[in-house]
Amino acid sequence: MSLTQHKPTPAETAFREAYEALDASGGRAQSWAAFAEQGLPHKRVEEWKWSDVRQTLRQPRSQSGAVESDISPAQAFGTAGAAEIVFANGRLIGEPELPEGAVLHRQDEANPPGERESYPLAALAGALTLETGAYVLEINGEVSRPIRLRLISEGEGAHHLRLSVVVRENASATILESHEGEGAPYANTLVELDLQRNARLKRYIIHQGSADVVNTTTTLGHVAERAGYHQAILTFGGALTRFDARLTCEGDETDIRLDGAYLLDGQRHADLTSVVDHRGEGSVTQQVVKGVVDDRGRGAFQGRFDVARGAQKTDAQMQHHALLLSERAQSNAKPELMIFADDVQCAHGNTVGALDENALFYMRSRGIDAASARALLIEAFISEAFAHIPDDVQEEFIARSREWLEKK
Amino acid sequence: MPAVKETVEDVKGLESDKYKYGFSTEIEQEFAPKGLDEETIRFISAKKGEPDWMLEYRLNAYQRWLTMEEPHWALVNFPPIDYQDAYYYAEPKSGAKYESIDDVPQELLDTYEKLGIPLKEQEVLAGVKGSAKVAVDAVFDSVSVATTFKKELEKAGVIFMSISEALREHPELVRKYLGTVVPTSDHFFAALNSAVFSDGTFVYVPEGVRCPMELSTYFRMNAEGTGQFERTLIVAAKGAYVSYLEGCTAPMRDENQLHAAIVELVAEEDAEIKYSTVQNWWPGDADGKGGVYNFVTKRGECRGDRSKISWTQVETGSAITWKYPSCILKGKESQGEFYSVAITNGHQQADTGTKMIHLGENTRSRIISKGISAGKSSNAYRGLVRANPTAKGARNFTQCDSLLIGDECAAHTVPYVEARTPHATFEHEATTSKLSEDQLHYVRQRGLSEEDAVALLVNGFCKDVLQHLPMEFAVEAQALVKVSLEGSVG
Repeated sequence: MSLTQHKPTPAETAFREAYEALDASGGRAQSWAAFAEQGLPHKRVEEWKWSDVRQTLRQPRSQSGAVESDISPAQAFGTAGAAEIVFANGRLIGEPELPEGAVLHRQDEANPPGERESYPLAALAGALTLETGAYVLEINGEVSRPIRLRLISEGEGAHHLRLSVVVRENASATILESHEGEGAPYANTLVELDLQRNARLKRYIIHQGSADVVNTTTTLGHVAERAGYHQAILTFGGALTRFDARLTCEGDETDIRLDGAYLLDGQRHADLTSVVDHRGEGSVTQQVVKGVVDDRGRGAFQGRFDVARGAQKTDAQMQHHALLLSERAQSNAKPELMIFADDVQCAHGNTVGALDENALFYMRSRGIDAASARALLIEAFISEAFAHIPDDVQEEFIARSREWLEKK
Repeated sequence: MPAVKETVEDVKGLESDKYKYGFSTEIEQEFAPKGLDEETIRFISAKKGEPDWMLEYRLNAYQRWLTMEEPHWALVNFPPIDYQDAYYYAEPKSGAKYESIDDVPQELLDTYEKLGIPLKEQEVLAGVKGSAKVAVDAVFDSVSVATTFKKELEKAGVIFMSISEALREHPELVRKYLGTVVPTSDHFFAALNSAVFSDGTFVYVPEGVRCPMELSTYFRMNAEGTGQFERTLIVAAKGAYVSYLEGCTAPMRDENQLHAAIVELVAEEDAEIKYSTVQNWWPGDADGKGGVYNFVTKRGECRGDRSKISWTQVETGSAITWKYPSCILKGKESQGEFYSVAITNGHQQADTGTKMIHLGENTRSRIISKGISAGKSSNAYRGLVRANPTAKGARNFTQCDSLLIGDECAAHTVPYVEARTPHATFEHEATTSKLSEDQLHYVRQRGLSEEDAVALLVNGFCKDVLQHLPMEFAVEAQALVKVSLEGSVG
């Protein structure tokens, strides 16, 4: 439903005002037109049926101002000793000192318009990003030191960020990305990935913030021949949280991992959505997503593997498993396979249930108290999603999860 | 005759077009005027001598339909349908219902004979001595032409007749249940069917009765440019049991024929309904021309505690299949089952699956779906499993496997899993692969031709589903699997 067809909501009107205050350069106009055509996604839109952005963003929001207070030191990945890029409310803070082989610059038109216009929130990010065009993080060599990317959000406004990551041929890097939010802001991020031949990118994301944060992060990626992209997400949800990744594997023999876990309590919501489109031959894609939902939390997982005609020998495996810990907890899943080639191995598995009473009983019979037994079982359950993360980062993921469990 | 041998025989008997039901019957027919408006609906209703409330029901559905949009979320493509360019009612001229089987025009009997439906009881008795009897209701375009074994069923207290007859003879029963599982406003095709449905079958099995024989309906679409909109309503009262079979065929025509049926099942306390379908509507020719659009709504409600509804389907026909036989599990400890084989070949498109809605405590459901795509076809499984907060102890197991034969076909899996209670356990597995080269090699090495080998392996792939079909259908289904895959290899 386009804005021209339905009466714009107050939030959509506020976005229009914000757009009109910006100069219409660098592809902004096209992005805005695409957003205006689609409007804020809502539950009547199939892909958004479990994440109603229009309903969540009822109140109009103006563009967030700059963060006034000092930026606190990094919580997530604090010990990893990484180079750091900080964005606060959509603004770059300071001059990042990056390791050799990595450069951050701004480009008016980093990626030609087209793809992002197909996704309403990606288009919105393109239209309302504060700086015209996009920040581009370019990786030109084998960067061994991880790069910490902090996305800090505060206040009650909305801010949009467009970031491109280009990993050149044979180059490699690791990004430790943290989404930190206090107050009730709407943080909308678009990450455009370009992984060239034989490039490798590892991206580990922790999202932790207040219960009122609305966070939508869209990743649009292109993966060339023999390139690899590994991603793992740990999210504790918010008023609405959606990490949406769309990867197009254009080359042969790409290597993709898209793991994740959501741990939700209170009335928090988290949605992990991904589409991997296999177009070359012999690609391998693996995905393990785990969810734990307590209180009145709502978790959603939507995964889709497309295998194009001719993408033979694709091997794609998808797993989603959710644990519901309370009467009002919800888990929704849609694991899809769209297969147009015959010589492939594709599978998905999905389960939802409660903690295994027998396992609990067994542990209690060994003298472990109920709370510890539950925590231990849940930790074991979610750890599977972190099994392929390098050790030091994995520790961070597990430590965060443990903190959450200890609060119970 | 062993099933495999019979499969081979059946294939030999095939014409080059591979669809033995492709003939059309030359019979004088009466049509309603082309197009759809209130007049058409009044015409259908008057023709059937329906009570006023039924006409009211139809007109109300028509008004709803006018406000609705044709759904387009399924993974199928078809050119826009002109709903005004079809006949909504066609009946054989010599009167709708025949007093005895001898009054049925010979052309019709011949048609059914060609289809292999034993209309005459004697033939049934002579043909399958000692085996279970099958009562048949045969629907030809818009009207039911013959119902067999009525007397014997009456003795058991089972009501088995066409729905137009039931509307005259048991209006109170029909009124009590009609539209309670699939309301008129459910969706576009449900509203359309509710407005114009012409005939179908009504079954009522009273309390404690185990229906003494399998009930069966054969649907035949014959007239050109006609849509078939049948309506089936099956009610199993407390403790009753019924097994119902449905078969469908249509002649070969260049244009597309629309089939939008509704099937409603109601199972009261401790009742069980087993519903089996072998759907073999004309799928269109090798270039994708013609064929039936099969847009069917099938839904069962387990109203009573410990009731059970089981759907088994073998879908091999139709140009487009859009069909989701579903169970609403309301009663405590009620059970829903869905066993499906969907085979697409040529240019066929299928988007089929099921919905299991768990409302009652300790409800259980099981979904086994096997999709086989060959040629340039597209085959999608689409399903929903939901447990509401009241469904404590609900369990579901889903398995959907897809098999691809050839590199121009497509297989999709779109399951929705919605859990609203921690006391439900849902498991879902899906795989997509091609026929195993090793197995093919082994079977060919034993002297089977490539086509026979493929048919054997595919039948093995479908075994979990086929074994749930009643005997009479299992053999037919096995033959169909083979026939449907004709020309998919080599």
